[in-house]
Amino acid sequence: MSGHTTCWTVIHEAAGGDAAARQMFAIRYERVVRAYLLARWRSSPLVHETDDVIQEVFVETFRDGGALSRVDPSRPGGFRAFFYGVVRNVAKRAESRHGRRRDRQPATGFFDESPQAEQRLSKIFDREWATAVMREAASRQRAHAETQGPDAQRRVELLRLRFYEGRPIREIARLWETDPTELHREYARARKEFRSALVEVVAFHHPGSADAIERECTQLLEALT
Amino acid sequence: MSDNEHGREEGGLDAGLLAGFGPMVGVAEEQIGLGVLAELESRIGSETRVVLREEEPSDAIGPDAAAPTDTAARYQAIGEIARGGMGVIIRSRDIDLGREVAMKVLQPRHSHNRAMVRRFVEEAQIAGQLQHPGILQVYELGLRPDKRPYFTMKLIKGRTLAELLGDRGSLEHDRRRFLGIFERICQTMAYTHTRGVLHRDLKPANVMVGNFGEVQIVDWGLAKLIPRPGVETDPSDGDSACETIIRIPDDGHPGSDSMVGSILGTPAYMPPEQARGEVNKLDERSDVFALGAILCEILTGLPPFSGDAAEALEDAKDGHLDDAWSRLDACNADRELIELARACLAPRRRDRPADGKAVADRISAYLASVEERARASELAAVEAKARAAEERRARRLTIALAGSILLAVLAGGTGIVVNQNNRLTRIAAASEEANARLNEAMQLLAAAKETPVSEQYPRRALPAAGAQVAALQGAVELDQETSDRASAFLDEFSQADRDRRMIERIEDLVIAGATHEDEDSWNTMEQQMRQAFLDYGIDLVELPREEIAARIRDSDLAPQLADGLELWIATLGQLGRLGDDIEAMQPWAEVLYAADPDPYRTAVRRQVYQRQPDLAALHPLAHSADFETALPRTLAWLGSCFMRVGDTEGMDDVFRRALLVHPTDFMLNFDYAYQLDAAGRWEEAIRMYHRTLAIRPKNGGIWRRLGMALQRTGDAEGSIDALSQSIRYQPDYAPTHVDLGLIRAELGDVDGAIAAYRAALDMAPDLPLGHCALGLALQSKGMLFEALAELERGHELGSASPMWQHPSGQWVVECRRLLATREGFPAGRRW
Repeated sequence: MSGHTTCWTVIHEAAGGDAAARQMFAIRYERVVRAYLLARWRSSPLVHETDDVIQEVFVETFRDGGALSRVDPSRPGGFRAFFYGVVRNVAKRAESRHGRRRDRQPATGFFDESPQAEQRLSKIFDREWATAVMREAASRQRAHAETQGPDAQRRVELLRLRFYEGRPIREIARLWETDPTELHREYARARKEFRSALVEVVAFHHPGSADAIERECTQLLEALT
Repeated sequence: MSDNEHGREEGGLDAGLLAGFGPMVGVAEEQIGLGVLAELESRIGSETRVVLREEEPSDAIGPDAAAPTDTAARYQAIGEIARGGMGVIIRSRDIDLGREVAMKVLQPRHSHNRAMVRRFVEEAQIAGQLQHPGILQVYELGLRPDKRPYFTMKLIKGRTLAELLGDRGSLEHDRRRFLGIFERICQTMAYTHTRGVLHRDLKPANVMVGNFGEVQIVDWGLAKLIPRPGVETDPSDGDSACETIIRIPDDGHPGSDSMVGSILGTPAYMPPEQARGEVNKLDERSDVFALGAILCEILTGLPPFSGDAAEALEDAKDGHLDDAWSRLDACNADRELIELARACLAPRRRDRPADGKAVADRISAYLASVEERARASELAAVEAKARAAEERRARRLTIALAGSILLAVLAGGTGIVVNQNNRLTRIAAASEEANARLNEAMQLLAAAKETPVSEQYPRRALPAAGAQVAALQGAVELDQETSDRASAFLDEFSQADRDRRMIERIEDLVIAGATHEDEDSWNTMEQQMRQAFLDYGIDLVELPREEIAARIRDSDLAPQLADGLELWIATLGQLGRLGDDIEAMQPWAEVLYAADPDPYRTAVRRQVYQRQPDLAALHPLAHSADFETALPRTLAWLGSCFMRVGDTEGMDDVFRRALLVHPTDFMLNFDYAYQLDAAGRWEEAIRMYHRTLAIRPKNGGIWRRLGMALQRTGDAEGSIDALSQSIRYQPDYAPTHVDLGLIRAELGDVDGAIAAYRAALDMAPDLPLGHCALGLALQSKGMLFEALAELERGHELGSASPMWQHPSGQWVVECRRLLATREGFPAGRRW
């Protein structure tokens, strides 16, 4: 894989057969696709075909003349919107195929195609997407801290104690035998570092102007609340 | 940015940080959890989410849970099981999964009490995150249509420890069993303490003992996360409304109810700091006190504080334990137990063992020492009996040998006489002595014929006696009558020797077949047994079945040959060559009935070859007068019939009485060990394997089974030792190398495991489990291409066998998935 800088680069390299790019793509997005399909098919027999359809999504993304050939990177919503469209279309195609089989019940018995249902699914997709981006940002912050030294690593640990173990800052201060006020300052700095890492990750997924990246960051955080 | 915008941004960032650094939540799990917790959040003000310490910190992503289902109509109430201050436990049926569960529902009167709802949810979360056999598995947390939270758990059928202790006839009745239960409680608490959880209300009424011996600690309603050093306890502790509860109803002991007010727990079992309401001082040692209280009740019949509720509470506050000390000192238990109870019940926390693990270690060490003493005593008894039998026969051999030596001397002496006297006198003297020796030799032969084949002596004695008589016949001139007697003896000896060798051959095959359970061994045994019968003049394949039955019946070895035939039939069944149905064995069963028509053995065999043995017929057989004289193999079959119908007491009774009659019969000892092993009674099985090894210490198959049983009890080191012994005595048996590898892998020694698997495959290149185990080990090291090749080979070989029961297909799919993912391909079938 060459030095790709955006998700589009990765996708094009993956579509070109680059194994490392495919691996990166699969690791990043499989969970998002799975979450969407499970939510869509939670009470349908198609839930058992989730693995196959996930694969179909990736095939559709990469294949010659597939979705990628029709993509417009400048379209509003960027890659997230594009990918959501791919996943949704493949899911609908699977449902249609399922409905045509004579030995199965008609698809309409299982799939709610109302606008409300579509909106709910879209939110699930967005939330899962946002979660994936946040975890990537956390991962990136950890990687930066590795190179920046013990203080930065301590700030990452501070975030882990706060959000993984759910400890209040004053409790962590007691644990570390440090001044709570000082720790609050470190905590604020750690949050900023996370925010910066998030911007870097979003810039990868949603290349564009600084303003556009900021807007995307805000939207992703809102998707989680 | 305005303050509002800033606040929103910060709140959003918190959500982002929680998603980025927080615990990974499975997709469907999150949807369920959010559904319940979000709904509760609107009523209790904030989402309650307990996260326990990680057992092993990991960022691994857990598998997604199953898709959620509608809980409203999923459970059908069957009846109330118990009712406490906080919740009601209802026996319910999960309609979707078709199983019964225990559903705990918050009492209606608490449904608007925020703290109580939070406590209830926390109980579910704590119990749900504690994954241990000693803790009831929580299946689901949900909301009923009336918005009361509930959670479902595994339904355990059994009784509480309080009930069992109350039903004891005397304090010493079943003490060993109760100490075993106590050990399991301690092991469970050792685990929960490592996960940072205190129970705070341990007592016999909160310990369920299942019908199959499972021990589980219930009611985590007062459970609390252990405060960490230097961290103050949540100020809400001690005065929250949820502590104003009266919990489990009277369990028979005064003062056993959990109390109202700021004091939580049950006074009769409560440490002083808990009784004084010093919530911030509660730690693992508070549960240790309660463990000591349970031990005190097991040993003395009463908990440490045994007055009425108010008295018990006052005694607990003051740490007034004089009464408990006196009772413990007078209870006639071993010193180690009393000291352990006293240590746990120390009024000052610092004087108690540190946590559940420290108590578990001490009780386990005590029980192991008791076990060891019992085992040593049993082994000594078995060895003494075996030695006595050996010595008795050795004395007879010595007499026989001495006689023959005397004869030789006489023969030499007779030569001199010949020169001095006449030939007739010489022949008469030699014949007289020869007859005396012949008489002894014939007695020896008769004794050898009656001696169980499992006893070692006749293997040496009989050939020696035969050789002496043969030498005697050729050495001196005998009168015609004596010479004829000697010839007749030698003919009989020759036949007996042939029979003896056949019996030994069958016995060896029976042992080999019984102690190994793999297809190759069974195939080999089937061929060797067929060959042994062929060498004995019975062709099991070509002869009509009636002829086989007639030849066996007419031989002197009918019972033993029938035993061999029985094993051969069973082997055909194991190899799937008789079809799956026991009905297919009936024609062969008829051969056995005809070949060995002994009424008692036939009656037992008729039960063996029934689809389901008839308990009403088994009991008379077990108590028949023929029991005492029956062959050990027959009794083993009888015991196994009891096991097949689930009557373990009957099985125990048959084997124990049979072993009184035949204490040194190798196969009988082994069969009992095998049945205990199959019943999951591993500790007892281990003891029996040791007894079996006392009889044949170099039997690799028994060492292997011992190793596997030790592994099931968690004694990995002991297991490795036993398997190593097995390999020492049977180095070319590949499955043992695989077993050894599996245990090494379990201990994290993947390289050692791989070496063991490769050794196995060097010996048996087509061993499917060897390939699969090697594949899984390579997969764990990331060597996916090599792993896939091994797994595919193992799957190919295993699938060809009707006996293959491992999910090798799934292993192959998983490995392909990993490989595909690593190589950049998403999961699925089409890549």
